Amino acid sequence: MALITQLGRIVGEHNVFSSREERVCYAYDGTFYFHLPDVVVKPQNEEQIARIVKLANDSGTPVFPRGAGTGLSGGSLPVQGGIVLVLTDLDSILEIDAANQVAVVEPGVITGQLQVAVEEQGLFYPPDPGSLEVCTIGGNIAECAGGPRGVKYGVTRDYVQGLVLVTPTGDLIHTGGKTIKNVTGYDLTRLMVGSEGTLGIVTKALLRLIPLPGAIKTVLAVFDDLLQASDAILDVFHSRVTPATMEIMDAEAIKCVVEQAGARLPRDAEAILLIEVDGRPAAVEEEVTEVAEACLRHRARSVETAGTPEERNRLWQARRAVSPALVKLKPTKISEDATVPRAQVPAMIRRLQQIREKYGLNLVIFGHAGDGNLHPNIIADERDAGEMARVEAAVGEIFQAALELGGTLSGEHGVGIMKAPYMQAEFGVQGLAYMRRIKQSLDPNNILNPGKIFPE
Amino acid sequence: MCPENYNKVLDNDLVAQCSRCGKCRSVCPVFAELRAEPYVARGKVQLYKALLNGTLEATEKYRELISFCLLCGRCTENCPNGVETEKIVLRARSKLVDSRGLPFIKRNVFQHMLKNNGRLNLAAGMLYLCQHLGLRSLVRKTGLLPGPLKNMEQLLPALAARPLRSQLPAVINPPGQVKIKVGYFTGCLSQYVFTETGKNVARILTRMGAQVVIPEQYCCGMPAFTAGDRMNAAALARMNVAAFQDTGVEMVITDCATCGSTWRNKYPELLGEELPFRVMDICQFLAQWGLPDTSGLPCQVPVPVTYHDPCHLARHMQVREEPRALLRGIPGMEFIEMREADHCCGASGSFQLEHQDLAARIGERKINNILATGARVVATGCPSCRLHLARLLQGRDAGITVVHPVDLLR
Repeated sequence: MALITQLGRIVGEHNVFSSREERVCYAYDGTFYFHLPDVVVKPQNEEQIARIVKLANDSGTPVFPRGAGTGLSGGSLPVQGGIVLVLTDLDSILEIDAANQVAVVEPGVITGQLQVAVEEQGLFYPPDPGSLEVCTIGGNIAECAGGPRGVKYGVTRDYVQGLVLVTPTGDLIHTGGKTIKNVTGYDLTRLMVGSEGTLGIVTKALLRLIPLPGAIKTVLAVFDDLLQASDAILDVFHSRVTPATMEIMDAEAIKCVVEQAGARLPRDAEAILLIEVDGRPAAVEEEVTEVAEACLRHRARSVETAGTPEERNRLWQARRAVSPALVKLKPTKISEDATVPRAQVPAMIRRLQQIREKYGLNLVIFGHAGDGNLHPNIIADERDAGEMARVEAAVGEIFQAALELGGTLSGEHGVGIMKAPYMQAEFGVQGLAYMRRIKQSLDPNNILNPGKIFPE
Repeated sequence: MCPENYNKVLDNDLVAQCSRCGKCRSVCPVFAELRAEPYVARGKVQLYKALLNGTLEATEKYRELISFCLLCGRCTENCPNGVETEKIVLRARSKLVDSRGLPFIKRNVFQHMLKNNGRLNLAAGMLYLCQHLGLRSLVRKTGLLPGPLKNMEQLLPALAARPLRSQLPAVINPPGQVKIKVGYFTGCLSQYVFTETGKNVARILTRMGAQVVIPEQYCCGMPAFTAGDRMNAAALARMNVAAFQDTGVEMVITDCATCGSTWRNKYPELLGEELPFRVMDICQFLAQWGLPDTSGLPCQVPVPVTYHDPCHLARHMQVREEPRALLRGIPGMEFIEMREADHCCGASGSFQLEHQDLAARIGERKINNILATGARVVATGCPSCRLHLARLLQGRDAGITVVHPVDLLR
């Protein structure tokens, strides 16, 4: 029996898409790659997922799990054709357990919608990837998504306490649970988070919640000197303040938002820092003063503070304008997320500036300075082969710089296909072989999301 | 056929603006119902991109998917990159007409009816008779019409006995001195269905000191344009602009959001030149020229009223505050803002004919928001929204009337 017919029997024909036109709509994500699947399937429950995975094992068809398709590493792309498994129909918030401060959700729940739902009960799910209005918890777990709040609250892995998943051979297992402490057996939950859909398909996630901070304030500081800005970053932490977010924009990014988006910032500034503190109101008052003083100590040209949502929004405008302003220059945006230890941020920025000069590229630097997770963005035109070759060389050097400074290839986007060629540089032959053995033993037929993480 | 500047911005550059971030998934009304990627803006932009680069051909399936767009503009409004999905979808549809032609009915309506007022009046007259001589119930009972046509017949609005323009003189002078000379573009729905609204527009304009000129005019062309028929849309644009140019008016007033946005945004594109006069929605005109003394205009319905933003007014003409100011200014009127007031109601011109069930599903969300306000009257500046909302509200038996804001200013 043809695979498509069999899939139709499992999920119902109306949940199987096989026309070329529909498949085109599942051939992309937030990157610029394009890989056409053979068929797209939308399962409605975990039993169907298990049956699909068994069928895939029997027929030797690769399966590519997908959420909202907003990934920035190519992690969900069907690089070998096969089945794209769209999990967005499993979108129930099954339980918000306020007493134990956990939520149980299906993988297709939209991150931002979960946040709204738990906030109604005074609870907080902190991970805040840029796409949170559309991205799904399943995708966040697969890539271990982060966001600006990572500096204080950590990333997705810090909030996943247990999972139900379909294994690569089609069995249902569970990991972790509602208890905070759990050292029983291997920590399979942590193994799954960030495994990019190569080791299992999450069908339920048990997420840790924390109390919602009562107050939040924002500081915008403008610097004439990048080094002063990075000294201010370290000084904030030295003052025993852990900011909720700490964003940086370099001179090129500032120039870009001023010229392309009319942002009201001094065009000649070398760096701006956007810092937020949150918590109990009295503590926030104290901390925001500390932050402002730290910036002034390092000769910030100006420091502005905001408390109301409208004013905070105004301060955030310049930072939010970066991405739209960039695409006005050229259409293809390559967003990297190489990450270094916080103290190495100035060194990393200098290296990135050198790379920009060397390859003559439009490269702007912004990102999460507080946790060293910078986003060097290269703006190019995918139709210009010469330029794209220079981009590739520059990206290689960015990774090398991050590793030399004690950092990592990816802070929050994942490896996917974009960073697979550089994996050996970070882990060495033996480290990579160790990872491969995990993959091979759990997925002997190499069914789940093949072609990702590991270099070919 | 194509104006000079049509291809100044290349199709490839338009689609290249999309970085595939997927943010449109949080705002697209069609996606909210169908929840699959081909139905969201990103999907359609990528479909057109695939057609342009040869990955796809202009198949029936492709045509069908491209038809699933309300052209509401909500994606563009919320897009970090400002991708102009409406423009892209219209170009995709235009290319489809080039390669596949138009369906039989649409081809004949656009080519032979819209440009000929004699035929249009005749058809409207026949439909009116059919609706009033019991033929309608005969047609429905006997099942003379096949399935899809039967459904469409039920969607046709009840026509007025006489078209608006046959009831009004071509030039109406104000009681006192002429302060401004304006052209009134009645649009097909004030002409054939909402003739009372049309008369109210003319009355209020003259009361404000405007000389109102109503020349012989034609469909604005939007039905043809959204179906991809640029040629007939451009022909109608030329005919209409010429008709108003001959009268020497400084300004053209519309009472239909769609007609207004077609005049203001599409005509310059279709004709390749700026228009020789300003185009204003009636509410915008009233707000800028000072509202008439409302104390002398007793509120007809002293009941709670809410306002629905038509896409073509709110997003395409940037008219949001003016109708609200007008409603708030009416003594005795209690204005209540609804949730998601500027969400598309699902009508989108002929979209409601082609995708009836979906249009109704999208509309249900709007209806629920309307009911939640407790308002007894919904005002909206678009006759297409008005028909759709009235039909859906009737289904709920809610006893809520849908009017144009000017209808409350008699």
